[in-house]
Amino acid sequence: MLLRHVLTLTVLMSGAGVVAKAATYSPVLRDGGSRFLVRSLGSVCYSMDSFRRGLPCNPAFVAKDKAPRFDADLMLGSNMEYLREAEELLDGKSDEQAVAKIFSRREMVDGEISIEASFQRPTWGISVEPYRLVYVYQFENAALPMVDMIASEEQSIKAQLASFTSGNFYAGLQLRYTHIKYIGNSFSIAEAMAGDSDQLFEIHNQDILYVEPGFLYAWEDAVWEPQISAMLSQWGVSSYKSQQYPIRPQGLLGASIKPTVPLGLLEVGVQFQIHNETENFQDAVRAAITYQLGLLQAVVSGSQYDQSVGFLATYKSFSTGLSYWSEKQNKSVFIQFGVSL
Amino acid sequence: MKIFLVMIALLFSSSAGAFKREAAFAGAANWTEFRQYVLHQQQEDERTGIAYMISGAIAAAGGTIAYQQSEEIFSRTIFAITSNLGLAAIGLGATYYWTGNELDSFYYAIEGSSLSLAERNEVLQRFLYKQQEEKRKAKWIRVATHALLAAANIYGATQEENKEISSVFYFLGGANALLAVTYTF
Repeated sequence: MLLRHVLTLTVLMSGAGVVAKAATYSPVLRDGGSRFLVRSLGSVCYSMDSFRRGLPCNPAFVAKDKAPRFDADLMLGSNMEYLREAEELLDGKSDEQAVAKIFSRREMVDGEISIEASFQRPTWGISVEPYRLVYVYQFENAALPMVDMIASEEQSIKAQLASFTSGNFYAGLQLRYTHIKYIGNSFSIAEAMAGDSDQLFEIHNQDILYVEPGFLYAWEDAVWEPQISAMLSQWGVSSYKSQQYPIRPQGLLGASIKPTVPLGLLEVGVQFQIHNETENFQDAVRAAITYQLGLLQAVVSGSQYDQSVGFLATYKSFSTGLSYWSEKQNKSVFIQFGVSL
Repeated sequence: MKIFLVMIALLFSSSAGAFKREAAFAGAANWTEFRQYVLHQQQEDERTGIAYMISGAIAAAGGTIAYQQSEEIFSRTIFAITSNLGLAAIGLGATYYWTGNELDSFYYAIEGSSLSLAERNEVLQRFLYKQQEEKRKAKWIRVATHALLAAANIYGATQEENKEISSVFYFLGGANALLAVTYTF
């Protein structure tokens, strides 16, 4: 959604004459959360207990969740066939035929693949993501075709450290280093075909270190175990300033409860996500519900712009899941294979 | 994709045998406390067993129906795996519900005996000592097994000319190396 706003703004401000402008990923693709449940819950994951895979979104939860674990996940998004195209672009191996094929595309593409392993002990955790490939291609305005595309390959490492005071208040800090190799532009197809495509597909490298503090207060002895949380995410330093991967801090305030049910575990959460592009109260709100029973965990989450519904099946050390995500003009399917050791 | 299906099949088959629920009593050798712990665990086993049987049935039925309705290859794969996991979970749930955990037999034997409380505490102490010793040995056997598997797979990967097969070997080698390291903690 945000990407569309950026695209619309870019088109309005630039008119038809501009060939290469920068595109920007939405915050959800820049917050380092490529785990299946994180993507299914969206920003509400910063306030909920209901995921037992990978490091928590909010580092304060590391001190609350005392069970040590080690797990590795492979997450695949839909449109996998286009990821090879993105890989070739990023390796500089695309020929003229491939570029012409990209320019002739008249559909939206939203593809992603990632592998991540994490190790968590009480009060600290570390996570390594050796490979993440994301490809977003958006096409608008059939009369004067405009394309907004980003293809990126990332390697990330995350470290979380947390502690607690007076038993119920937890504070944590996440350090996240990401190396990104990417191509990202918004351009008019007519001018791109007439001009030099090398400029459009110029490969950039960027290093970012995020410093992200998080807080949590949990009434753990209360019946429904309510908790409130706060976090400052995407705050840090970058090797250089870019429009594709900007440093745009965002504040997250959330709450969750676990209503008592006869069998299984139910959790309901709500999150307010505020950044410099948030215009209205309803833009910032997202809610989620998860229900865990035996090997199954069902997840439903939504904001006024997008909805996600999915399930995760965990049997012994193995997990597999599928999630549908949709907004007005775009939809995706995410699947996951995971192993916990 | 094939690589990960092979990986899941291998890992899944390697652990499918261990069904009985593990339980460890970490307290002192006191029969009264042990009895409370076992009775609480039995209730937990029954609840967990019911939860697994219900969710397993949902996963098996839902996965089968969704597999038949779905056309996209990745979705079909996930639904097929989910359906299989569901069936396995029904068996796991039934085992938890009707056979409980590994402490139940010991509890049943001692609780029904004519031993005095002091004698029960003594037997419990010897049982817990033996159980801890066996767990320690089992831990290092696991470490050695996975270290050997890691070495064998990594060696296989270096000798294999087919890139896809060597990737599978490298993955299995890496996963087993991580398992070996993890079990040392």
